[in-house]
Amino acid sequence: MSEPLEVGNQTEEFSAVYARLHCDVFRYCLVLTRSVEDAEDVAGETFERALRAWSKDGAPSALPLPWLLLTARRIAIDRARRRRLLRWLPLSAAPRSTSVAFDQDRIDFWLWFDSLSTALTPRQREVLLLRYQSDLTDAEIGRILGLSEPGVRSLASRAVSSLRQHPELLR
Amino acid sequence: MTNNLATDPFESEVRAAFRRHLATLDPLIPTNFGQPEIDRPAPDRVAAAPRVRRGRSLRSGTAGLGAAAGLVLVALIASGLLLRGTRPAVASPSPLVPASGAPTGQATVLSPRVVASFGSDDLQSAVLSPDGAAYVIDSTVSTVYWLSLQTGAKLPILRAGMELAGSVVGNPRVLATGGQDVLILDDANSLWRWRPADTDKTGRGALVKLAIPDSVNWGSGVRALGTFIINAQLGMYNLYVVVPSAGQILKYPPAADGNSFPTAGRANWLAVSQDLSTIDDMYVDGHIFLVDRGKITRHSLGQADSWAPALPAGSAAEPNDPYYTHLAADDPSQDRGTFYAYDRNNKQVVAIRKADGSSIGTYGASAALNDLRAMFVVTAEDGSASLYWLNGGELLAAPIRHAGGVPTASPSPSVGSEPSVVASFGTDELSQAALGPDRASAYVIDTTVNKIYRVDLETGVKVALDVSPDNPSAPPVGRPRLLGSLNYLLIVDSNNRFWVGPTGNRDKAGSLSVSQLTFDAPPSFSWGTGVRSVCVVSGHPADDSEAGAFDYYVASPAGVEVIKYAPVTAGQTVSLHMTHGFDVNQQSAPIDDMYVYSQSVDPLRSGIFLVQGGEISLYQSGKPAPQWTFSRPISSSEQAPYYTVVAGDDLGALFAYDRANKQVAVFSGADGSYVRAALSSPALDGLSSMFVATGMDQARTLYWITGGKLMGALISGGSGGAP
Repeated sequence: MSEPLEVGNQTEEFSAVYARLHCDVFRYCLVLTRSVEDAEDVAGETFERALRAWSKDGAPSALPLPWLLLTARRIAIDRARRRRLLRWLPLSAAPRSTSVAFDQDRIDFWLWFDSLSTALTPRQREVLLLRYQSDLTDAEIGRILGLSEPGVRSLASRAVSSLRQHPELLR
Repeated sequence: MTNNLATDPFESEVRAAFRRHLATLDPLIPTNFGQPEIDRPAPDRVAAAPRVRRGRSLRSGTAGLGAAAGLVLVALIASGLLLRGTRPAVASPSPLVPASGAPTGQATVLSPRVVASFGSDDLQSAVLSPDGAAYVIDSTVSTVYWLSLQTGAKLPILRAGMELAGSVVGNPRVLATGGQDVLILDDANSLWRWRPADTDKTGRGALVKLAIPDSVNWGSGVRALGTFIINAQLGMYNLYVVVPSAGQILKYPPAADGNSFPTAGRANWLAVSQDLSTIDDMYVDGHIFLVDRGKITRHSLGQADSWAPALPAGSAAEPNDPYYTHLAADDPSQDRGTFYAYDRNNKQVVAIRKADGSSIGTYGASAALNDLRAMFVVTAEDGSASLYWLNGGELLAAPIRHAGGVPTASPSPSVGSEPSVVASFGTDELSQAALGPDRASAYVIDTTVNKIYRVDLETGVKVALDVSPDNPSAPPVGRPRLLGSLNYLLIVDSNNRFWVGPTGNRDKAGSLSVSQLTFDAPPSFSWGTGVRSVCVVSGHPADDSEAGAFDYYVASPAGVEVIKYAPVTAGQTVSLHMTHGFDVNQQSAPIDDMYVYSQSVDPLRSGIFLVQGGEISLYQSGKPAPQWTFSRPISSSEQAPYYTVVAGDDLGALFAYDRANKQVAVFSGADGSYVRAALSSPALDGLSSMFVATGMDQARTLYWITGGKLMGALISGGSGGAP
C-alpha cells in the first residue's frame, strides 16, 4: 500500500480542480482509449500524478487542464505501447480487450468519429477535439500535442476547410 | 484567448457538432468518479462490500425509480405488440367489385384494384408502415419507394449509391417494420432505418444507418428480417435475422439508445441450428412462424412446436397441396387474429386462424395472384380488412371478409394486464430471477451457460455478467445457483459460497466484482446438494454497526431447516455466524421456496413464509402459525391449488404461484387471507421464479421466468399492511 500523501494546503485546491475538470479529462481519455475501464485507469492515474506533482512543486502556473490532458495523453500512449509489446511475448498476460459493451452502447459516437477520418487526418481530428471539447487555445493544444502554435492553427484551418467539403459529417 | 468565440458560422457549426456528439459519451462518465483516496486506509475485503446502515429504506437513494417504474409499467401494458402489421387507421379501399361470400371449400373471388403501378416487373418486397403508407422495393432501379395507399403517390426514399454519413447505400433487399420505423437491409448487409416524420402523410422522414457491428458476418443470403417490440413507449424492438450461413435466426436486442444492435446481446434464437437457405418468409409475434419449402411452421422457445395449418377445403389431394411462400396477419398480437398465406400451387390466399391453425377460407383472384411477391393486411378503424399485394409491377388491393368476421382466439382472459416478454434468452434453462438493487433491473441465472444476466426492465436489454472475486487470493466463483438482492446482489454458487457484489456502472458494462462472505464455523449440516433458497433481510435495530446491516435466512439443502446467519465482526474481519435454526419438517415435504419480507424487523417472530408440498405456511418463532390458512376459493372448473413459488412486495402482500391452475394469487401478508387472483394466464406455465417490483405510485409489476423468457405483467393493487 502506498504511503498517504502529504498534500497540506494543496488538498483543497486540488479538490476544486478535480471537481471542475474530471469530466473533461475522462472524456478525453475515453476518446483516446475507447474503453471505459481504460479511461478510468488513465484518468485516475492522471489525477494521481497531478496530486503528487502539485503537492511537491505546486500547481502549474498555467491553467491545469492542458497539464492534465498532456499527462493523460502520455499515459494512454504508454499503455498502448505496453499493450502492443505484450502481444509479442509468448504466452503473455496481455490484457484482454475490455468494454465491448461500452463501445457498442455508444457506437453512434464512434461511427461518427470514425467517419470524420474520411475528411480529416487523425491529428486534425484531435486538434478539433481539443479545440471544441474544452475550448483550449492553440498554444495549449500545441503543448499537448507537441506542436507549435502556428502548426496547430494550420491544422485546424485545414480541418475546417475539409469539413466544408463534407457537411454531412456534421449531422 | 480561447477558441470558443469563433466568428465563422461554419466553425460554430463544427464546434456544435463536436460538442453534441461528445455529449453522447457523458453517460459513461462514472457518477461515482469521486475524490481519489488520499490518506484513507484501504478498506478490507469484506468491508469493501456495499453496506447500508440499519433502517435505510429500500427506496432511499433511488430517486428516479418512480419514473423508471412508471415507464416499465406503461411499456408492459403496451408491449407484446408487434411492429409488423401494426394497425394504422387507414380507410379500406373501395373495391371495384365487392367480394362475394362463398361456401366452405370454394375460394372467394377477390376483385382487386390497382393501387399503384411501377414501371418495372421486379418489385421485390412491400411492407405496411405504422404511418399507414406502404414501402416497396423496386429492384429494377434499386430503390425503395414510399407509397400512399390513399392516392397511390410514390416517392423514392432510398436508392442504391446514395451517400449517407460516409456510407454508401447498397441494393435494397429486405424490408421490415419495427415500432415506427421501416427497416431496409441492403446487399452489403447495412441496415437502414427510415423513420417517417410525425403526422406527416407526404412521405417525409429521416434515414439513418443502424449500427450492427457483426452484420458483415451474415453473408449475402439473409432471407428475412423480423422485429418484436420490447418497449412500445420508446419504440424499441428486438431484431430477428434469418441467416442461412449460420443456420440460425439471430436475435439482437437494441442498445439503450435504440440506434444500434450490439453484438454483445446477440443470441441464437433457434435451439438447434438448421438449414434456413430456403426460408421464404418469417413472422414474429412472440412465436416465430417460418415459411419454408411451402410449409408454415411455428417455433416457440427456439423449437418447432406442433402447430400446423390445416389443409384448406378442396385441397385434400395432390397436386392441390398448398405451397405457401408468403405470410401476413391482421393482428400483431400473439395467438390472435388471422394469417393470410399465399399458396403458390393454387394461386390463392388462405386465411388461417393464428391460434390453432384451422383454415377459415380461401381467396382467389385469377391472374392477379399469379406472381405474388409480397403482401400485407390493412385493418380499418371499422374492423374491415383489406389485402394488399405485389403482383408483377403493381400493388393491388382487395377487401377481404370471411364468415364470422375477423376471428380472434385469445388465451384465457387474464385478471391483470396481458403478460409480455421482457427479455428472451436462447435457452429454456433459466433457474432464478431477482429484482436488482436499483429496482429497475433484474438478474437472471441461465444454467445452460452458467451465467448471470442483468436485464434492464425498461428496455429488455440484457448483459451477461463476468463475475469475478475482488480478491485475487479468493477461490473462483462457482456456477451461480441462487440470487438474493438487497442494496447489493448476493450470489450463492454451486460450492455453496456466498458472494456479494455492488451493482451499477460496472455490471452494466458486463463485469461484476464480488466479495466472498465467509462463515465463522462450518455449517452444522451437509450442504452437499446446495441450499434451496436464501433471503436477505435488512439489519436489526439493536445493532447499529455496519456489519449488522444484513441477515441471511437459508433453507437447508434437505429442505427441512431454516437457518439464520448474521454477520459478526472480529477485528477487521466480518464473517457469518449461525444465530438461529429451526426444523420445518412438520409438512413432511422439503421447502420449495421461502420468502421473508426484507424490511421485517425480526422475521423469526413476525414470520417466514415457506412453500412445502404445494402449500404455504407461515413460521413464527420456529413454529407454524395456526391461524393462517392460505386457502382460496376455487370454482368447480379449477383444480386444487398447488403452490410452488412465493414472492412479496413492499406493501405487505404475498404473491403465490399456483402451478395447477397457472395462476398467481394474492394473499394478505398481515393475516394470510386470500385477496384475489393477480394473474391467470397460460404464459405462467412453467414459472420457476418470480418477483414483484413496486413503483413509487404503488403499482406493482409481476416478473417471472418461464422457459427461456423473463416475462412481466402489470398487476394492480394488493392488500395488507406491513407484515
